[in-house]
Amino acid sequence: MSTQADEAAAALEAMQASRERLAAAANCPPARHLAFAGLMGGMVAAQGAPEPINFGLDALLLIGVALVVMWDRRRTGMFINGYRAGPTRPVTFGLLAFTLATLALCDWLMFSYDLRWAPLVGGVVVAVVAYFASSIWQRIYLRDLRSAA
Amino acid sequence: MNGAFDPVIHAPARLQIMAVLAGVQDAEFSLLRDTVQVSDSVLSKHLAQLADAGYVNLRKAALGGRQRTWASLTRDGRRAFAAHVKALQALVAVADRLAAE
Repeated sequence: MSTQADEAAAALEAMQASRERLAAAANCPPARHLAFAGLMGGMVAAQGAPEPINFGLDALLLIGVALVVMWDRRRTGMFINGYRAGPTRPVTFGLLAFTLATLALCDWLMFSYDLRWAPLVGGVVVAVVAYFASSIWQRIYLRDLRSAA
Repeated sequence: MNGAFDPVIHAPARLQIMAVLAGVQDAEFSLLRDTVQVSDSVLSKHLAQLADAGYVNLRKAALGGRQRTWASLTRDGRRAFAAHVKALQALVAVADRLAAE
């Protein structure tokens, strides 16, 4: 029993050491948080542009998402899904809910009161919130990797 | 070790590979090699065994103008890894409890 338990404890320790090394490799510079914030804010702000310019902006944002994914893979050799299960998920869904609510509010202000600038202001607000949400997400992710198995 | 342990995952290097892949959507070969701290050939061998068991997906994709291997866990792999870790933790907990008595 003791030998088996020692073996199991050693396996868990080695596994944790690998996760620590993964955490060290999962660097996320401020520019990455800024890029994410720009995409989230841009998604809201683009709704204020007249047609068909807004469709062009949406297409550019999609290209931006693809570029950020490529940047992640090139920089770190990995990709981490923002919707991954675990303690980061409340941050993901909280930001998603906030962004959708802001988007709906901006649309309402724009179509009901003709406030064409509302999406631009909403986009700035979402970008600021997204920057901090991204930083918090990263901190929680690293803590999750480093917490003992 | 008893039947609750998965023999495919039980080898230390394979357990570490699974632990790293459980933390990401996918990882490139050299990142896996550096985090698990094994040679290229050892990593290739273990990845092939995990892929044969249906626990890992392997794909080739270009990055920086070179073809590279990317690995990710399958749904079965995630399930098997979680069960194996749980079994290891249970064994350690029982041993700790016996030692404390």
